[in-house]
Amino acid sequence: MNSTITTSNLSHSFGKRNVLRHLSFSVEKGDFFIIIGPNGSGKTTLLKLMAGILQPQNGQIEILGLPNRSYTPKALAREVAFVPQRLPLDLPFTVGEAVLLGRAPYQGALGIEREKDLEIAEQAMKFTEVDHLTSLNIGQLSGGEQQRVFIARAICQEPRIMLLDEPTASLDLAHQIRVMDLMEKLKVEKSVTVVMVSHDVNLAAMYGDQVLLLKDGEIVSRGEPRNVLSFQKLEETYGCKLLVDESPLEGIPRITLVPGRYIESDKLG
Amino acid sequence: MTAKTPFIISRLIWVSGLLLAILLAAMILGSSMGSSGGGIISVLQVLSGKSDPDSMLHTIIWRIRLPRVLLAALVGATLSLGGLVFQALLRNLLAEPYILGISGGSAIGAIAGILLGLSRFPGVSLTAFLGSIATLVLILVMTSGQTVLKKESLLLSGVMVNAFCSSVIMFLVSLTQDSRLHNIIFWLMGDLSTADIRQVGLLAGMLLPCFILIFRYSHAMNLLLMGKEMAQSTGINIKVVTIALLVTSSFMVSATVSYCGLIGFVGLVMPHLLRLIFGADHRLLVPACILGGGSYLVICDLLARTLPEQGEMPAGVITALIGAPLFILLLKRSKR
Amino acid sequence: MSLFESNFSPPQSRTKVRLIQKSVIIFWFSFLALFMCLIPRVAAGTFVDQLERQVTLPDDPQRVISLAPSITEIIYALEQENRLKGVTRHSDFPIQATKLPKIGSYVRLDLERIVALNPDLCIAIKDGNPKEVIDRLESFKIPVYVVNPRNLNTVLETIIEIGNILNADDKAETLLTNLHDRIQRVKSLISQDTYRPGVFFQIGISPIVSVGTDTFLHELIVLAGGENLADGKTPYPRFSREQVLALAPEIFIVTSMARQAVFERVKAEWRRWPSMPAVRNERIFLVDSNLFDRPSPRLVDGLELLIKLIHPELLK
Repeated sequence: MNSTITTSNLSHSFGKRNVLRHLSFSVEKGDFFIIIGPNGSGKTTLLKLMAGILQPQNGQIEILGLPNRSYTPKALAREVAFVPQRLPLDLPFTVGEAVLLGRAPYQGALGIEREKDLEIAEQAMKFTEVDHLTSLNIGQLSGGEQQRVFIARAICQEPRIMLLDEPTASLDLAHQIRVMDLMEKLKVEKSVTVVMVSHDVNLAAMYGDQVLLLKDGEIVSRGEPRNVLSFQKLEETYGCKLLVDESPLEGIPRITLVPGRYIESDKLG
Repeated sequence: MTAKTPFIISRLIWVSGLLLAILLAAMILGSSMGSSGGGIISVLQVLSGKSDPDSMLHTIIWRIRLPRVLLAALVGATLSLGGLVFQALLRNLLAEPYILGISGGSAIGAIAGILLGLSRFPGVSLTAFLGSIATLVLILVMTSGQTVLKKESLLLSGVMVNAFCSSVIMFLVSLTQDSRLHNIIFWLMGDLSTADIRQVGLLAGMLLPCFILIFRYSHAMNLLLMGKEMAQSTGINIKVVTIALLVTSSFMVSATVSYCGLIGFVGLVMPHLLRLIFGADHRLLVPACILGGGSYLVICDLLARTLPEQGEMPAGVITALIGAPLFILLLKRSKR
Repeated sequence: MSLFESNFSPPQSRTKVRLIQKSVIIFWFSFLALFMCLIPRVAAGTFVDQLERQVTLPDDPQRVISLAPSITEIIYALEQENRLKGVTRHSDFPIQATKLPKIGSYVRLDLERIVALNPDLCIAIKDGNPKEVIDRLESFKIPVYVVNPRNLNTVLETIIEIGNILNADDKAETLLTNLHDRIQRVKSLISQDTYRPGVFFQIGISPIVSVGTDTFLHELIVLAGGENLADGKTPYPRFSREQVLALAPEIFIVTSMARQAVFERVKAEWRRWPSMPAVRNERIFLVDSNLFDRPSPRLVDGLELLIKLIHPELLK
């Protein structure tokens, strides 16, 4: 069984609004799977359904071959870790304490830390390069550092699947690359399947093994970046003019946004 | 965080030990002072059984002061713990134990009981309890379908219901013209003076299981601070934990309030005070609130009984008079 | 996600939830409305139980504690103050009573102080003393005798009862005869005249509160040959200034929980309405409230004061 996540005929609505319609696809083990699409296309909802935070109204999700309903929250947390878009930056704990929270799926009710928990937390902090910040309060860190702390926390869950919701949304360029490289490292070194929602199509092109393009809750396209990220599909989905060519980095599509003035004066060739 | 032994356990032991010592000292002090004098040595003699069982002091200490001091400890513990739990559940630092309509509902219930001429226990306590449960159910039902306002809706509904109940209470008070008015006012201000050892024992029997259950969920409360979604994805069954904590806290606060009226301020300030001193880990804060909150009210009640030359002040006045400046002081210190 | 948002809520169960929500809210509010209609009746009336209690009393009580100022007054009137070991905070008559140890106020008794004084008898009053404290005193094996004086007659009966339990029957009889004679004198004076001027008795300054039928004051006003303009079911009815003026009282009596300065201000306020007969005829008076709201022998003093104010012509 090579797929870690499989959805069949997945649909979900909030009240009268249909957010996802009849989605069927699967995520292969060890892939860096990136979901893109305009706002309102249902990306975040899809991610939350995979994380077990929402239960699908119609259709099914299978995680590692088992229907996701068959997992208890704790059992699911041992396989799937979730990093939301808005992080709890007001968490009144130190970095070390916050990261240790990620060991909860392996602990008893009182979360008493054992040797192993401390080791794993330390490794996770080393991995995300926040180990020098252990005793600082979360509020004292920069945005990028805070992000990496919560990723370390997720890594402590020792998940096979890592879900991230627009992790690069508020980061500067250096940190964006840093986070994406971190996820790639996670995939390569720990064989974690990474599923990420992103708004940045270029990053999706650069890092994704597989890309899922959503619009209005339906799949527009799924596959490798050079197949999915064609200018017709992107223009149709996003509703704006784009240029797609090949970037200097080999084999990777490059998407360029076209400012309005070029269209008006027809400066394009 | 590179300690070899479970750091939390050693911290838990010394924090609990310290606060337990303070609580016991406060209780002994509380039993040794009162409107008819006493003294620590005589109290210790009485408590260790070395004094004459027919003496006046013996009777007063065992049957009047000790029940009262025990009650103060229980109430202080419950209100502080209730405040802590609601602050964690609602993720709002202004939450306090009466916030989900408990104060309004129980007050109306108590006033009804008093006006009907029921005796304080079990009559008025029962009507007060029913009142608080009724308002709680009302609020839960009103907010169960909300998606728009999220956690704010529970808080807001609680505030609105309490406000509404306040006006009903004022209306009822304005109508009451005889001596029952005094009963009502004393109930609204909080009254520890009716402590009877058997009733206090009954209350303890109801509250102690609640304390234990809340302690069991103390790490879950830590996780809840990350937000419901992240807590859920870290393995917490949000529905179960939320309902368990909500029901348990509401029950214990309602039981306490039904017995001794609305003692204010303890539930709001103690969690903050203890958080400033001991940090935000709920595994420490739960026992800290129980022991520290209990000590605090024992001391405040002692002051409330002994400071005025005649009679006694409501304990809720002292808790605020001392608590607020203390809190501001600690806040300033922690910011530096 | 709200606290209880169901992750899985198909349309049918959602409308069911809404139905349940609506019905709980409707039920709650209709219950509250019903409750609010009933409570005024309850608040005004008296849902109380009778006091036919069996109490074992000591033959010769030596350590008596009085749990109300009126009871203190009665004990002194019966010259049994040597038995008295503790009184309430506001037991201010006679002046010697203020020197006795205090056991709290009559609505907020200090259990510890009472027990510490080691009494062999406590005398309590039904209207005011908290029932819980009485019960707890009894659990300490301290006998509590509860009196319930509701009007002049029962006050006189109370005097006899207290005299009885304090072994002062003869003193009680003397006192009673004296009080009785004085009351009779007033009654006979009044019978000479059928005129009953309208009296408004203001016991509350702001808001204006007067006295209804079920009060001592009402009884005294009627006995003193006046008409209580505020009589009615409500024991302490509230009036607006307009309503008082509409009643056109001929005699206006203000009772002081207040001091002289406050009384002068109140008098000046009423003086602005010369349409009121009491203002025109300068018949606005201030009296000591303790003569009129304590069920003690001084009620008769109050009666005599009232007849002076209401029918001065009969005393000439």
